[in-house]
Amino acid sequence: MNRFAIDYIFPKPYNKTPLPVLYNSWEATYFDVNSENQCALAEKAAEMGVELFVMDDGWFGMRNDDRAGLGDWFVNKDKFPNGLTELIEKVNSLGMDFGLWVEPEMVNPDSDLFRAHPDWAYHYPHRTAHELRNQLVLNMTREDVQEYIFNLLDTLLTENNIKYFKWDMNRALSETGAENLEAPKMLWYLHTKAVYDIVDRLKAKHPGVTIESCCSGGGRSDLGALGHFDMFWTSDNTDGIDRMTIQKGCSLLRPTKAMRAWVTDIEGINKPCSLDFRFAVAMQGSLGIGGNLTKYSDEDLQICKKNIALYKEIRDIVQFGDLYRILDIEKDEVLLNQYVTEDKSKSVAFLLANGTRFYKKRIPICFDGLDENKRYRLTIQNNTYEKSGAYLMNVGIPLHIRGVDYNEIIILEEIK
Amino acid sequence: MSKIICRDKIFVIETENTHYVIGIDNTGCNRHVYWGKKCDVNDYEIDYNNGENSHNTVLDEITQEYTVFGSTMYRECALKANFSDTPADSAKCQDK
Repeated sequence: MNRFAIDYIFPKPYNKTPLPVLYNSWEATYFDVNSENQCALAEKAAEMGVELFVMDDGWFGMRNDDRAGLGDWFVNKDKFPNGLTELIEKVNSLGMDFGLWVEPEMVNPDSDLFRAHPDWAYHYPHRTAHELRNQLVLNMTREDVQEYIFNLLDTLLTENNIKYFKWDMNRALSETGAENLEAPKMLWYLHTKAVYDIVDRLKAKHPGVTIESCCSGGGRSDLGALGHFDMFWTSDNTDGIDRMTIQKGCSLLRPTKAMRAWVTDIEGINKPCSLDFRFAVAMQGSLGIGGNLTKYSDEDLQICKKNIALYKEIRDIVQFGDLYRILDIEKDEVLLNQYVTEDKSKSVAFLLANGTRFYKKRIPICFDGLDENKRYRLTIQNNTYEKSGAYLMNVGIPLHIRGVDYNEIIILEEIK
Repeated sequence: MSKIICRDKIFVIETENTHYVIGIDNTGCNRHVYWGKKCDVNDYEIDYNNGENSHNTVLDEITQEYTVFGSTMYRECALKANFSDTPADSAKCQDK
């Protein structure tokens, strides 16, 4: 399935290009964005090895919280008096591409767009149009709505060196009145097609731009969407422990490369796990960092730097390799996922556990997907082994896996 | 023998061994509260959750006794009505 998606589903020509390591500043600044605080974050991100710096919500219209501004995709002049150029030039000078968050299908009733075009949002006459997160959904089946959105996003890409959009969709649809349609039930197809068309047109006009389907609310991570979007947001739940099962479920249908996986600070309020642990989980997809870097210690930043450097070494194996799910965190107390290149010359395995039983005995860790006749070198728990694929897959390496925060990334390389 | 006990907006159907409890919550929605072994009738309460986010809506999370289609409820429904003045989408229970 993974190889099929890479060859036949993903938008070309970037289907075989690995996705960059991104940093997104949402958790650091939320709606309170400005050139100064974003530049400061960009410097930290670049120092860590990040390749794509993304500014999230808050940069447009009167967007100071989630009650206003959606629909007004114009740079907020109070926050960015000189437009986005200053920030983007800074980001580019640090060697990173720049990306931006948008939520084009949505509108807040408190926006210039809605005041000018109240009929552009889905609604029924004589019925309340229910808001979710204070927002309504634009009737994407209307050509004037499509052109409005295309033109604003096109302008952003034309006037600024933006290489990536995070296309969010933070609510489900309700009261889906589309009076413009002869057959109103066509709206589900026409709405989705309109989104795909805008994405395709933007990418055709601006080569080099990739677009993420940020689909927490929209659920837009199917293989149909991945024929247009280059990646998707997996879940707002970025808890390192929860993600082990979330990512497993996600991987059953969706290609690894498309799965954006972030290291965030959510551990602080949920189930504690170390920064290294969170990296070892997030590195099993397309790595992103979303934490508040202004609160990271020098030691934390070094941990980020080390893991990002490692990810760059292994990401081709992860994003394009074959995935073998060997041990399941829920069934086996231990997670072991292994990614192997098509020619079986390189592999990386992620071994994780978040609380094994006190006297857990040694278990043989057997690998999968290797060539029986090739010999591989690997280091595990500080011991280096040189064994045949047959031995590693059938006999395995006996290990004690103990503790609440066990995380090890094992690289297997063919000895030539 | 069964009987129905009404307590404020909570209705308890009582049989020899069991209670079946339904109610109306503070937004006017019909709610399923409980079905099982008999408890003290005065203990039943209607839980109300107003925490809505981009993953799920309040209507999607609450347990209803009888679920009708429409508004921001996305589960399987028991009743879907077409109104004469609008396409297939019934009014939310709060919209009375």
